[in-house]
Amino acid sequence: MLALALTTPLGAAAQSLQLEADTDVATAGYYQLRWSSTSPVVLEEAQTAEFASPRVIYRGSDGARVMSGKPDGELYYRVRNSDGDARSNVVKVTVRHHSLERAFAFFALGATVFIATLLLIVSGARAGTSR
Amino acid sequence: MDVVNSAILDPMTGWVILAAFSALWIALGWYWGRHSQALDDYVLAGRRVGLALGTATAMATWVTSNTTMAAPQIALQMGIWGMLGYSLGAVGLFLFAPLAARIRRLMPTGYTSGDFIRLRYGHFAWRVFLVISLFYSLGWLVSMGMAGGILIHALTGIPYHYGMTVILGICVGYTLLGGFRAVIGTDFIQALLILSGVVVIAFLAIQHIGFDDIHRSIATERPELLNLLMPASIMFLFNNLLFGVGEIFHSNVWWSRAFSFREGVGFKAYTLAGLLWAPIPIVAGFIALAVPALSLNVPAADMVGPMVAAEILGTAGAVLVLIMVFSALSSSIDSLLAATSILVVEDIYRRHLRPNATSAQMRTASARIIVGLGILTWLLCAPRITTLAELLYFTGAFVASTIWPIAAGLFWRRANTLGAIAGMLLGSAAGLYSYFAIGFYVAALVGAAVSMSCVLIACWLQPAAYDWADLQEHHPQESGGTP
Amino acid sequence: MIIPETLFGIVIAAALCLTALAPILLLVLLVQDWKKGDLW
Repeated sequence: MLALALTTPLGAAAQSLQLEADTDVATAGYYQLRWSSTSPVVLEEAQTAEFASPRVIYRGSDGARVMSGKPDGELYYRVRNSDGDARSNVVKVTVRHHSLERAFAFFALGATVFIATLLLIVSGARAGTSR
Repeated sequence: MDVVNSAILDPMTGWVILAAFSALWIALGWYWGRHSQALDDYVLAGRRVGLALGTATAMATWVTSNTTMAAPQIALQMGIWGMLGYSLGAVGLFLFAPLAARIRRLMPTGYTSGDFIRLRYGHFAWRVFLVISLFYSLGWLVSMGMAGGILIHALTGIPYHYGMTVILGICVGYTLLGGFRAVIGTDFIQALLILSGVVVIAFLAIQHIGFDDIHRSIATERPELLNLLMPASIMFLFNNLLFGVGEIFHSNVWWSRAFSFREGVGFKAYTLAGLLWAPIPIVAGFIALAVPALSLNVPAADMVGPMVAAEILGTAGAVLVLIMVFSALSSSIDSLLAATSILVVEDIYRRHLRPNATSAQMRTASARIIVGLGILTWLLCAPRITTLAELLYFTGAFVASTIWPIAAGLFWRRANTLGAIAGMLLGSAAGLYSYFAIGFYVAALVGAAVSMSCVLIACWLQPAAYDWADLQEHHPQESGGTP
Repeated sequence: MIIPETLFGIVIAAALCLTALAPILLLVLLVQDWKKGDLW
């Protein structure tokens, strides 16, 4: 019901074109952009809040888009109606991946737990069959 | 999420396919279950399951909606390591192989994983374990019921509640009629359908677009997906592995299979199932990487698999995906219904409420609980609250904290109650904390690490000297229930 | 560090071949079990 409420048209008024992202800071390079619109829209992406040189990344009548595989940086988004000049609010998403040190620390922790579990089972199974 | 605006098939085609497969599963359930009157026959298929059916049921059950939908989702979000990390879920099956053999040997008349925890660690640890296990089972059931409704809706336009009701109703129906035999028999057919479907879709994706185009488009539009040093996906690797190990080690779905396999089959069946399962998430995940090459808009990450398949194959692809998804969902829902029902019957009904229940009464209770679980799942699926992966990933912290209490408890006499309880409680808490503090991709890992430390410290401080013979227990089946 | 296209192709192709072999293996096992009367 929550999802339905978010995508329900908020009246015909053009200024009700709303854009939102599911996160402000994406630490894994992926996020979802959602907007409310009854008619086809154009989704634009830019490096600056002024939208100096925007890039069109989607044109159509879906109500959302999943972005992924983004490198570190700050990105600005807005949607506009493709048949009018109604514009949505601007949404800023910061992509900041975890540091590699942190990633490898978790990797090492995981590897330790896994190897310990493996040793426990292999040695246990050997002892079990020889008895 | 109603952000996808057009279904690929028309509802009529959807209903025809659903009806045909439903009729098939129900008929097979009735056929295979018509002689399963005794308790062991009904809930454990007579404890004589062979290698072929054993392998197929383990593999097919592990292919859930997660493999066919979340693997593409993870590939789209986490890229190449997400996809390979997903296939490390097979490690759970490999590691369970020696456990299955040992479980069968130590507890030839056991019924559930709860039996083991109770006999090994006593009542308090057992109750903690039951809470974790039932929470997980229900989480899994609900995530699959919801997946069924959402997918059927996206593919055919059949309303969410109808699709969800059909898939739950059918699984309850044939599991009820045929018991564990129906589960295992249909799993075999479902395994063949899933494998063929994945292969056809991936093969056609390569033929349509080609590796070079797929690779080039991702490299320009979503470059981090191909990055072998993407931090989150490096963290995800062992997390996913340990999550899978935790799911398999504790869940009665896998224990009841270990009890039901013929002597000597368990080890081979689980190893082989792991080998057969490992490449599936790679193949299924790969099709999500075709998104940039197809210039496809993906509104919701969990829809990417079906959307790509339909884009490449059109109507035929959508039909194929529908059959595949229906198979993947049923092969897991039926297993969960059967295994959770015997867990509830043995560990709650008999051990808490009716200690003198005969095996005939347990047989009846088991059937009623299958229906009850179906209704409960339906009620929880009806409001359609959260996204799929979130719901199941939430349980990662809990299940991973059972790995060490179970593995050490099966192999080490010195493993003790204190370590098991502390491991499950502190591991779950730490895992949950990291879920919110860092991300879903570390919850299981942290849970498993904390739990392992608890078990090891407790073993060192206060080693127990457990007598394995205590695991052998008298059961109603032997003491003159239904022959 | 972007994964090279050849390695990418090899990984996917290998996984695809293994998955394609799986149903055949399952059917062979089924026939073997059935002949021995070890189905279930």
